[in-house]
Amino acid sequence: MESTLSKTEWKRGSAELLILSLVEARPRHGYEISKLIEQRSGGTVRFHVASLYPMLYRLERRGWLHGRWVEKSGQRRRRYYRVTRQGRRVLASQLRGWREFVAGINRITEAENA
Amino acid sequence: MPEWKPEILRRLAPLKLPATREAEIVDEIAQHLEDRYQELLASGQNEDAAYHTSLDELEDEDFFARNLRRVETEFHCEPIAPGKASKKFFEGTLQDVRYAVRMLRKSPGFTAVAVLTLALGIGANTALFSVINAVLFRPLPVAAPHELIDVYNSSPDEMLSHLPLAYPDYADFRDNSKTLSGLLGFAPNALALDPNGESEMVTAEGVTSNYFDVLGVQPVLGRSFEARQDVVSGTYPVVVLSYNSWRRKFNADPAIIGSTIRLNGNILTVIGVAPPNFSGLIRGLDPEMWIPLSMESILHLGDPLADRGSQWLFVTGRLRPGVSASQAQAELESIADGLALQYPKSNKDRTVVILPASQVKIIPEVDGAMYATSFVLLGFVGLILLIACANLAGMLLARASARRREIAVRLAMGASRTRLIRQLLTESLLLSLLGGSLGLMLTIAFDRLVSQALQGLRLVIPVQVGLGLTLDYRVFVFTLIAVSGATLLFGLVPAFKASGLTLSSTLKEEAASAGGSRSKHGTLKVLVVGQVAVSLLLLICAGLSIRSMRNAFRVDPGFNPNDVATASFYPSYIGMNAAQSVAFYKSLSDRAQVLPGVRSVALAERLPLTFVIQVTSCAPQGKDADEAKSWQDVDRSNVGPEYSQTMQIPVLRGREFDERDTASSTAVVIVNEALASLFWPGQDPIGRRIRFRQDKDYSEVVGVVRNGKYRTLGEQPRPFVYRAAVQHGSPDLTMLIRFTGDSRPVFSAVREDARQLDSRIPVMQLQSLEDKISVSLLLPQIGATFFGLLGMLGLVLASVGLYGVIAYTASQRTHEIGIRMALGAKPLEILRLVLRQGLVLALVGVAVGLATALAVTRVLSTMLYGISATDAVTFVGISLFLLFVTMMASYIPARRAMRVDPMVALRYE
Repeated sequence: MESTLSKTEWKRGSAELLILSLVEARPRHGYEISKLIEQRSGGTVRFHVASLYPMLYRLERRGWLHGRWVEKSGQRRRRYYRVTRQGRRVLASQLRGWREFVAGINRITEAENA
Repeated sequence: MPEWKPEILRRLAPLKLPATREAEIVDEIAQHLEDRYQELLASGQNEDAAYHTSLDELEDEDFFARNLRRVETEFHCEPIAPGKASKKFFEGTLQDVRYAVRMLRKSPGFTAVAVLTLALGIGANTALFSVINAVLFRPLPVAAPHELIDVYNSSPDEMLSHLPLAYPDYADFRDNSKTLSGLLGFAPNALALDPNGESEMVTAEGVTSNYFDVLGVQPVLGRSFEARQDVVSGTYPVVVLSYNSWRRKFNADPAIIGSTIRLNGNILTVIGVAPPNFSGLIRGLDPEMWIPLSMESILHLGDPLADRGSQWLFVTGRLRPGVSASQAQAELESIADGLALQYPKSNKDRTVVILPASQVKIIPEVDGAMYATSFVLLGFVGLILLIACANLAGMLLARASARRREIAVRLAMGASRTRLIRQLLTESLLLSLLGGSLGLMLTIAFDRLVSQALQGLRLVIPVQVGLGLTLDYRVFVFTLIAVSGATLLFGLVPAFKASGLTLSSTLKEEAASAGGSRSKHGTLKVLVVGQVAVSLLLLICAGLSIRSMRNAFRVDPGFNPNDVATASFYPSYIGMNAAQSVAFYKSLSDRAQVLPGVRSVALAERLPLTFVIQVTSCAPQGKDADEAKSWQDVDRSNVGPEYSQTMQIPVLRGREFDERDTASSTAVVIVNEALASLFWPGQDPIGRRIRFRQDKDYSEVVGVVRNGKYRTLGEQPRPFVYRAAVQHGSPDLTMLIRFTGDSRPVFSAVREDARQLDSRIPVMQLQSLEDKISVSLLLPQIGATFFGLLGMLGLVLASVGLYGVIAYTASQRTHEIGIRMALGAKPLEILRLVLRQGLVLALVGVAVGLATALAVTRVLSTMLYGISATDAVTFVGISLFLLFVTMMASYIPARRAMRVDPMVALRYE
């Protein structure tokens, strides 16, 4: 289930992958995550508040993310999410599954177009 | 800046999230929308457009809520702090537990003391219960124990109402019963194992060959007896070892099956090893082997299997499925009636009594006493738990005061009182559970110690006792009951008190508590008084027991047990009678006489204070025709020449037995002072004659010796008669050797001499007389240890409790003390003030404790030696000691109070 994504979970699955990989390097808050997804996809992928936060909460419930309120001087407090050890394992396995999937697609499409 | 929160709240409303969770989400989303808004403004949008674009992030009215619902309802979590009423019970409980863990972690010192206190209180009870459980409650480790019944005989003119059976009666019941699927018999016995040099006395059971089959007990090694091999006497020389003896005596040799052992000079083949938990049907007895009854020659039962007259076989049967005990009773009664007609001489008055085996623990006659003793002991140990609970309750009350603000805040935030009580009780329960677990560990350690002590007992009593102490579910259930009982005891009052605060008063009058109003600590004071009283009671019991033990050690037994070596010989085990053994003993004594350092040598059938009692009925000449009145039941022993000299019992008149007394000469006796004054008050007994009930001839008194202690150290002077061993009795005698110097060469010389004279005769129990009679000190020692431990535990717990309460109340009065000092009170006056508070509590406690002790210690009177159960010295001494300890416990906080700086104290709160 972690590495193979069924059709219905397609979008959510890829969103999980995106979020986990964004917080892998360092903890980020929700707005930062949504900005990064938008920027790095060149504006093609966007998550609104109404989908992003339920997703974050779900990942947190599963124990893949850990959210923590942080107060930095001169700023309002924000909730930062970092990936947990379990989350890291899930990310690795999802990435592997994703790469295999893409490689599979590529082989098919390359073969057809050759 | 736009207000985001109402918008978000409106969308979240249908979810009905817990308040804190909702607030958290609103905070986070509002922050996000604000970030987005600021960014849009920065990119040049006007405020209105930026506002709407940001709000679009929430999409249509219920999309956000729908998405969130799936996540949030999976895991609906109530906030911890306010303790609001919850709809779901278990979820709230989980939360209570988490909160309790957090609170206990915050004060590790309190938690450690509380857990340790409870561990001692609960552990003491669980430990005792584990012993009682092994004796009284644990079912026998056999198949379907509820189907087993014990069969006894009963005769109207017998003292005991539950008698063992005669073997022929047993066989008739077994062969004719239709209601029983099997009927087995067994008889405990002492045997000599491996009679090379010194033999070892082992506890064995002679059993019918269907024993293991009827019980449904499978050996772990080898097999059990083949049924009906015991019909022909002496043809089935096999033995089944107990698991313990296989481990202890044969080093758990896996190849033991088929090998042989020597018992009472006979060779038997080991055919099986019983399972580890099986130790026969009598609780507390730990037989080391089972031997077929047909080997009566080895078992030297003394009563042949064919004799219907002698009753010695314990009988247990298994009911057929669907048969009730009363049906079996009816059937066996009719068989017994038939036997009474057939054998009127032996069976005329015999009736059958059937009891479910589960009801019989040792034998019916002593079971009642076992139950009574158990509950009395549990009662005493229960007091320890009571003190521990009082301690805890005090600590919790003090803590509750410190938590007034927290509790008031929670009440203000809408927590219900029930919920708060539940939360506080959860904390208490957690403490008890921790204490209970630690207590169980203490129990395991205690059980190990007891098992070792029981094995050590082997040196002083001639049977193997063992309880197979293990923690089974009953012990766990008992611990759980103790834990929950304790929780309610110490947790309920503080929880109700703590939660019963009125809001406004607490939040406002926090400082007023420092005023030290007296009524406020009423409950605490009652607790302290109770603790002091209970620990005084326990200490008095401890004091009485310890003084009694010291008395017991100082009691003059009437002989000198020092520097006497003993060795017991059992010619009867190899079938010799008294006459045949005379030569053996003669040579043995002669050889021992000349050993270096040996001063005198004597033989005796039984020794005083070893719990082997022989009673005989006798009457003085001239009064022996008179049936009832003049006949006396008198303790006796058969002894040889120089007995009094060796034991150093003063001969007051006449002489000892000597060479003049032979098997063919006039029968002679020596009496003690008590018997002399009983039979011939004010007259010289020498030359007088008495008759024993079983004798036709008279025996002449040749000497009078001083009274001694015979059965117990605490007994009143008891009539005693010595008969010449050479003229009567058993061939099994104990040799007494009074020596100077080292005992080891004496023992090895005796062992060697016996082997040379007749290597078949078992020699056992080579030990000093002091060790041998130490069994008589066992009861006072056990009593002193038991109550000594309880007393110490009680004292420690009560001191901790008193210290805690005084320290707490003193700290509550810091403000008051400050005022007093500011007004000119001297530090010493403050010290006195606080000390007085402790002293008053202790005095009241001591008064209550003394009154209780006066009423309760009478229970102990039977086990006290040379001291009254209401001994004034003990009562006063212990009271003063306890007062001293309690003063010390209050002194530490009192000194602290004395050093209060008025300036600091007045600023306090």
